[in-house]
Amino acid sequence: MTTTTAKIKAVTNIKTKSQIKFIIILFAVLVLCDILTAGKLLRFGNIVYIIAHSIFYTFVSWGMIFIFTTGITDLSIGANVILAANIGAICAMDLGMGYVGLIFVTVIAAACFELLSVMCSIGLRIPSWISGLGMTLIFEAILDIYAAHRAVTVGSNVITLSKFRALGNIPVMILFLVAGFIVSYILFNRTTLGFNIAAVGGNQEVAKAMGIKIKKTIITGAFVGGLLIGIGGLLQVSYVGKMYPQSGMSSLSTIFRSLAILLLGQSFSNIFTMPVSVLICGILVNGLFNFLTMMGVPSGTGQEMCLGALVIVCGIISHWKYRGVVK
Amino acid sequence: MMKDKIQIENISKTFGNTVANNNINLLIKTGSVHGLAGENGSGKSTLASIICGMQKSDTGTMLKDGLPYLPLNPIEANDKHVAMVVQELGIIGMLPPAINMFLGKTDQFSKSGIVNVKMIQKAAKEQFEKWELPIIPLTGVTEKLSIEQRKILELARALASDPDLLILDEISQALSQDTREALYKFIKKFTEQGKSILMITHDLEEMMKICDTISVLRDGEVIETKSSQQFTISELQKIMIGREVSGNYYRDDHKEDFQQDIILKVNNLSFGHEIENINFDLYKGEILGICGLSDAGIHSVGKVLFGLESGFTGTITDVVSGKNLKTPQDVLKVKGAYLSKDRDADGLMLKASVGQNLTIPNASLIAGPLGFMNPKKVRELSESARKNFEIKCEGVGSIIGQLSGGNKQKVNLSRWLIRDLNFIILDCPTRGVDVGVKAYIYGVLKKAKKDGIGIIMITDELTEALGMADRILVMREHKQSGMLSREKDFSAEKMAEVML
Amino acid sequence: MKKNSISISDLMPFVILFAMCVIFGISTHGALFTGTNMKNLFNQSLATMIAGLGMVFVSSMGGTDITHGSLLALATVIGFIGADKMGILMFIPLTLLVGALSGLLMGIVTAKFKVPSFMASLALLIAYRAFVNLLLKSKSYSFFDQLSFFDNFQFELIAVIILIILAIYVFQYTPFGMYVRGIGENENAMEHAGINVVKIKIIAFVISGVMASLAGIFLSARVGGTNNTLGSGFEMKVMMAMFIGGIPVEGGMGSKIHKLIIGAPTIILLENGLVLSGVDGNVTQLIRGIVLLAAIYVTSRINEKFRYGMKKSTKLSTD
Repeated sequence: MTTTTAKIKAVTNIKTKSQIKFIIILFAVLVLCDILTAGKLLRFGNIVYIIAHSIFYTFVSWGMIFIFTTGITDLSIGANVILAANIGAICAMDLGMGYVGLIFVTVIAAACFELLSVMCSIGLRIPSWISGLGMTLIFEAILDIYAAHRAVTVGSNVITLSKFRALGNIPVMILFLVAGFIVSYILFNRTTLGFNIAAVGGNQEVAKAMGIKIKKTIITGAFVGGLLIGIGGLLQVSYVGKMYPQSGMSSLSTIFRSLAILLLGQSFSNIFTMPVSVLICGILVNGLFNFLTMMGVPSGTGQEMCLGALVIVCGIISHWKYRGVVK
Repeated sequence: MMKDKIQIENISKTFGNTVANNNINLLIKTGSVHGLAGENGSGKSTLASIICGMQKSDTGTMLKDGLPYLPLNPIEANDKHVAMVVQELGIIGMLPPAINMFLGKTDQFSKSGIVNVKMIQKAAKEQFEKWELPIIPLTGVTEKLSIEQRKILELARALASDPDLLILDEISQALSQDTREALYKFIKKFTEQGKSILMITHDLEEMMKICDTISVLRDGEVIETKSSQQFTISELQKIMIGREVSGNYYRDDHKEDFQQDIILKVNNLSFGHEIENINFDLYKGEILGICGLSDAGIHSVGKVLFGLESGFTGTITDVVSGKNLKTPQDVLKVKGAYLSKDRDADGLMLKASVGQNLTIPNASLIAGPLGFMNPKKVRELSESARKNFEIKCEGVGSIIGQLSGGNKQKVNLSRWLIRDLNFIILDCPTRGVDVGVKAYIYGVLKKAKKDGIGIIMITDELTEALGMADRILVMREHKQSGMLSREKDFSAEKMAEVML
Repeated sequence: MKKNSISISDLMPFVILFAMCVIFGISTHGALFTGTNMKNLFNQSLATMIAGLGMVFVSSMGGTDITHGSLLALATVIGFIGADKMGILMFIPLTLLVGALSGLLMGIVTAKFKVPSFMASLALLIAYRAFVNLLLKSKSYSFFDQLSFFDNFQFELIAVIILIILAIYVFQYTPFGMYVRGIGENENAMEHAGINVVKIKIIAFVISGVMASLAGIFLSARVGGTNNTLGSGFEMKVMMAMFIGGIPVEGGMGSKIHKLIIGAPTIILLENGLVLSGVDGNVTQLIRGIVLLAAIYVTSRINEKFRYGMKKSTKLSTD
């Protein structure tokens, strides 16, 4: 009996070794960057700032795990979360539903919109990336139309959350981050849904042979992913006070950072499980942009170029060993 | 008195033109190891997949423990305590091994939605201990396990559904000697408990050692079933392969008949685990067969020769130009060609027309100055190919997906043969093709041979090789095990000796 | 199906264009068909058409190139900067060179490194726009008087006709055109036929990049110069022009240039008609999204049903 456990332990140690290696390399890079910014990077206040800013993107990336893993490349998430957060704000402010409206409506609306988008792809039998683009246009337009109407009736086209901002306090947000991590971890690594999503994403034939229902898994994954994304939107609108309507597909830029986090996370998924990987990479990517800002690289130009380059490099890494046909 | 665990009566299954199983009758007794022997294409895997619920038979019945047994899918088969370890690896790399074992059944271990992973790991460990299987890591990602470890995991997964009939399809070839011994110990333990095993293996010594009863399949039919003690290995080989090679379906001469000039020299060709140290020369007008069991590496040889696998070692030299061939473009430049064994996936564009399938690969031949492809020439090429190769279709505009397998193969082949070729590599050229088209293709090959084209024919069908080739390069376990000559060595026995 | 018969999928774009003309002719009370408006329509669809002629090569392989809007801005900006420093003659070659280099980058990242083209081109879309902001720093350039013939109607007409003829020639009558469509049908089969798929993919992306920058020159000439927002949203116009014309998303033999030629004016007509009918900008975007999904859905169903006439339940023979 003991030899069994001992042998299993011996091999498991290899995984921990790579984890330790990763942490050491990470630590070295952080120290280097800190020196380059004359100690400003790793100040406590700055670290808190980085983490606070990464919360939105991290929640969106966690949600993306449950959607993209099964093969649905749906980038309407950006427009989706902006629309859902605004609807939540409307319910809280204009319809007098307060916190209840804000929280429940935002999160559930995001999940429903995501469900709609995925069912559009499955039902119309068109590739998910193009149906995502179509839904992006639609979601953006819906909010935009309302905003224009609102500009006429209320005087401003932006919905501002002036009350009910308690969730935007940094300690509260960090609590949410921890809770979100626990929930994502459990959902992905300790539920049948999580296993089934990994199975469908890994090899659909095997999943089918083991009795897993493919469509049901994809749709449930979309709903769960949408909930997580909705929570991200909830926190963001509480923190900032508003989420501007975008048009012309600029919402794609909004969630591009989350896509980078997801791809980077996938490259480390052999060392850490995805939810953990995403959490680490979320803070890393945001730290990177914070570092760039400190080094004088302006946002709107240099930073977006880095973002684009980052996504391409992460894409290359995560497809490094892939031998099939890619469009 | 041993009862029957499974009674199989009159099972038949046809795929398109191929009769995979023809009126199979089989009895697997309780507590016994029943071996299924047969060469590639004999119908073993089809029968196994019918028993474990992956396919449905066209006709026939099955009884398990005396009760009707007709699983619609592998899950139902599992519920009836039948499980199979398939040949192609079916695991999810991203998940831990313990989860892979219970994939699809994880709800059994969950309370209010949360799966108790420790319980799964314990259940997994229990299976390993119960059957004394070699230890593999149960946490971490399954991707990191070796192929051998993954096979054991699949075995454990099959055992987790508590089967009393276990089907093992070519399991031991992935295993080292030590692990094989552990496997045999497990088999003994399993059957001592009154459970049965259906074992498919091409290792005849293993089959004689482990199995109580052996059934030999050939061309989809059960030829003979006897207790293993009543068989000898050479008898097995003979029954597996031997059949009358009749008529002028194939060639009617019995001597090698090719020219003096060498077209291709292959030296020390190796690629990863697939092939090791292959050496041969291809002569002008020769038909060189390459045979072996499916996994011996024969199909990889074709791919490597055509330059589809980068990172091979050794040289493939075109004698006329002196060039070493490395990429598909190199091969085409020296007037070579390649036909993959998977015509639907690798050969044809199924939603396009017959004409498009013929002309697009040959576009550079039709193109004139400035790359202009004269539509008249395009039409002429496809029409003449259709006529010359007697392709049965409504016209070159008809969509190729609708054609029969034989006609599809004619298109597949003719798009190469209309070129001026020095050599061509064919992988299973008559697979999934009816008898009429088979004969036609052999005729086409005989003519090509007379025209001096060097033909490498990789095939699973031994009779085809024996019938058509001048020499046969035999492979076993990724290495070259012999080169047989038409005049001296072509017999089923000699072939089986070198191949199995 | 005889080879020379015209299929329903070929006729669809004409039907849709006709329907649009009728609908918007009525809703704009004929304002759609005035001389000035027709000229306006032509001007607007010019850039889309030219960029589309390049993108068709990429989409017929089943790939995507969504960089066009930012790429043409970047190309023209670099062209202007270069012309400033090295003389007007550098403008056109430099602009086209930028397009070619971008195509080269896309091709290598997609074909050699196997990054999905959608993701890679989206990343470049964002990065290029940022690069434009960096280079321009809210300056703007005005177009050169010497090159003002680019805004001349006759020149534009002749140029577009020549480009269309060239594109049709390469696409339908050269091996390269056959190969890109073949890759869309079955990339494996092309590779097994000995065709250098990586090379073909890279060339297709280069063509797409060059045509996008060429479209940028025309656009810049019409607008009068360049600024940070030149070409914003342009890539969506090009994609819609292709898909509304009935070019299949997965590429393959169903991709035909005439579909783009009809599709480009159709999408411009749709937008122009909506504007003339008094519809708000954001409602237009909503309609655009719905039309995109509808067009792709209809195209897939038509291709499925009429192209290979097989019942869905027919299984191809298994070996």
